[in-house]
Amino acid sequence: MPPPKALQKQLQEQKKGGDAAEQPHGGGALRGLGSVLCAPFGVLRCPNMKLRISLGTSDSSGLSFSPFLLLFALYFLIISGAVYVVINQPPSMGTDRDPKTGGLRHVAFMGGRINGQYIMEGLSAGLAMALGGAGFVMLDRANDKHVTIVNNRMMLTISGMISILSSLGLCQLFVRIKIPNYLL
Amino acid sequence: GRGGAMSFVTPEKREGRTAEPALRFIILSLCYILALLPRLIAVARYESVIHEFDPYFNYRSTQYLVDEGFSNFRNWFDERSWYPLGRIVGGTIYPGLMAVSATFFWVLNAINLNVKVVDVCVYLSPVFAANTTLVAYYLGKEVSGGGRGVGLVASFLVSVVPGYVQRSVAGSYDNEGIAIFALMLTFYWFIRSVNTGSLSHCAASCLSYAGLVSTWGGHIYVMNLIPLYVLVLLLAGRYSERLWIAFSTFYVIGTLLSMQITFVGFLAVSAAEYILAMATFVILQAYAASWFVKQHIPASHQTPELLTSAKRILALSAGAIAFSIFLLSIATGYRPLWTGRFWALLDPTYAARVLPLIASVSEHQPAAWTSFFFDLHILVFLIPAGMYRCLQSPTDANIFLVVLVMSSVYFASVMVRLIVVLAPCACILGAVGLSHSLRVYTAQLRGVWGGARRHQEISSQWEVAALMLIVFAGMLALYVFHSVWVTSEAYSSPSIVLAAKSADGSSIIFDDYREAYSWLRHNTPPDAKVMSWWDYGYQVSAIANRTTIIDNNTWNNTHIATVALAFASAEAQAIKVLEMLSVDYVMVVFGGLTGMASDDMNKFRWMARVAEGVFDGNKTVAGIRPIVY
Repeated sequence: MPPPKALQKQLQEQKKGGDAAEQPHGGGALRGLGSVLCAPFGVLRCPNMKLRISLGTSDSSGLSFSPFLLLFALYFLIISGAVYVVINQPPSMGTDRDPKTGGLRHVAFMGGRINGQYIMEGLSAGLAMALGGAGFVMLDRANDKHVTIVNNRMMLTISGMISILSSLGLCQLFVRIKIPNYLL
Repeated sequence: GRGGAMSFVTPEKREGRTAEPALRFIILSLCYILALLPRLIAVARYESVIHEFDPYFNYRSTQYLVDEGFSNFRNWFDERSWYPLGRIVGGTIYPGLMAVSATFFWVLNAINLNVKVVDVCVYLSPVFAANTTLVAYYLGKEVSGGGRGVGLVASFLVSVVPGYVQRSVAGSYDNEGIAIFALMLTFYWFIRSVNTGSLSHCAASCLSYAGLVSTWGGHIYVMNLIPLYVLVLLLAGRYSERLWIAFSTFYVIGTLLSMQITFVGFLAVSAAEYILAMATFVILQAYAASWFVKQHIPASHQTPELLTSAKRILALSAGAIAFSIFLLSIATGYRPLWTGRFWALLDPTYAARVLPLIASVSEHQPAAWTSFFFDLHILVFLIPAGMYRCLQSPTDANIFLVVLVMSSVYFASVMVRLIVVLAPCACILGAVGLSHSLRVYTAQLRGVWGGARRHQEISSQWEVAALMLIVFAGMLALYVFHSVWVTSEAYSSPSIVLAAKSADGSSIIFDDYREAYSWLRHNTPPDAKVMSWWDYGYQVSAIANRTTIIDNNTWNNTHIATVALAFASAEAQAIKVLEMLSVDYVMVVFGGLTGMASDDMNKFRWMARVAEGVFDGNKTVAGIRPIVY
């Protein structure tokens, strides 16, 4: 946006004036203050920080995959119950006594409660849920206009559909192990 | 466009009259009804009764407001709870919920529909949940830049999402029922004001934020999320005048309005939880000022020396401000700290170490994976899809959605109760992702059957598109089925009335709580003092109408520890505590042969822990193991 005309004229006059411009009153004191204020910058340097997240400008069309991958990885960790694990410190998997031999058996899923899990159980369920999300992303990419080879498009669509259906089934299976009468 | 003789799906932008507005109205009405019906399962199964514990205090306050009027309500000092101490109710609650219910009560009674306060309280949450469905439609439309399809999918997803249903069933008369409505409305108006930069939209967002502050303590989340979003936009180089207008207005007027609530008061400018908002306001003004100055200097004058001196000025002023704040805090000795409840969200291990009372509440536990899947179902798959779509075509509104959902997913994993905030927001994000796929496949179908213009050059494989649409429809049907099942099995129990299945399959109803409270009400003198563990305090106050020693407000840890000491000590010591508190009756809940998992015997570990935390001379309570029958 071009500056208003009055300001433009003033700037041009200043350029012409240059050294012949008036010195401010009490110029000595002000120049002394200026040198005091600039003193730190004799030693320090203002950092040339380019602090920027690349999320595309208002007119760019798309962006790279990496911010999404980072967010997706964080989402996978949180969905697997990482904060629950940090606070409650459950074991990696539970143990149970075999009724016949008396030996120790490993139990993968903490049954009976909705709000309890073991570490491996959380990670595998998180993987199942992330698989479903990845399936939807694959379907989205299959219909992108950047994908030109029809074979790729068909593969992405089929693998996306298989991912979604299988992850739904997996999640239902896992929940039914914990809560036997789920959806029955 | 290309008109055909047959068009099964009317296109979005066709001139002339279409059936689309009628279709939209029908879909939104069906979503509204769908939001109401599952929430009424509890009423159909038991009766129209208020659930849980906290809602009873809200009910008692609403009754007081209806009886005494608003100015007495604001000055209410309750001497019948926290017995020797009393509680300043007027200054320590969020009055929005009671005010709304009282308004409904007065309006309905004025037109001679003589409802009781109990009825209004029971049915308020489902009505507001259905209203949230409508707000979700507008929010989905705004976020996707006018896409009505996104709005419709969002409103459908929000209507039954179990994470929201769990706090808004009929009878759950709690703050979240209304607060989530105000939350979504605030987000809608804020996004609208960022998109348009119009002051009237900013004013609407401030008003809805004021409504949110008056109903819920979770407004701190909004007052931290929106500044975080502004910072993300600044870092992404997406500053615009609209953003500056929207946030400046929202911060100033929103904070001023939030200070009108007595419970918030001057905390809004002095508490540490609001510091991010204040800092972002200052940073945004500095950014806007530098942008404004840069606009008015022609490019030829923007020399490197000018840039250097501008940066030096900025560095010097920032240093001066920081130094003066440092001096001020040393001079006045005022160092704001985050209060325990909110600090536990940032440092998840804090509550278990320092505040056993907060850590013991079951809804403050962190979320395991099943809680996420139960409360969101297919939304856990749709969140990455929506995130991908938002990051592929980022607009200011899309980035807000991503920041919103990522932060609420983290906070929901720290505290299960906050899934109620995650659920509607995940619905909007999921709607963005799902609606895109739906639109692509329906466009392929439309291209085959004749209708609007085609978007792609490849030959449309309509069989694949039709198959996909059938699979999506099946998935959404499974979602509704799951949501209604979860509502019916898990979230429709009133907690004050218990049910169990006997050996031959018939269900037995335990109404012991209400019988006990009725006994207290009819068989004890009106000024009797009843001591019980704090879970039952609100119910004793509301139903039995007797003075209680401690209740669910848990504002005084020492008082609770005194009662815990009485419960955990031998009788000879306990009677001294009871005499000190002038207790007449003691109420204990015992499950007995029913094996109830949450009776006072099973809570005894927490009583011992609380007593130990304050009176550490009480070594007898160390080493208690959980009781197993």
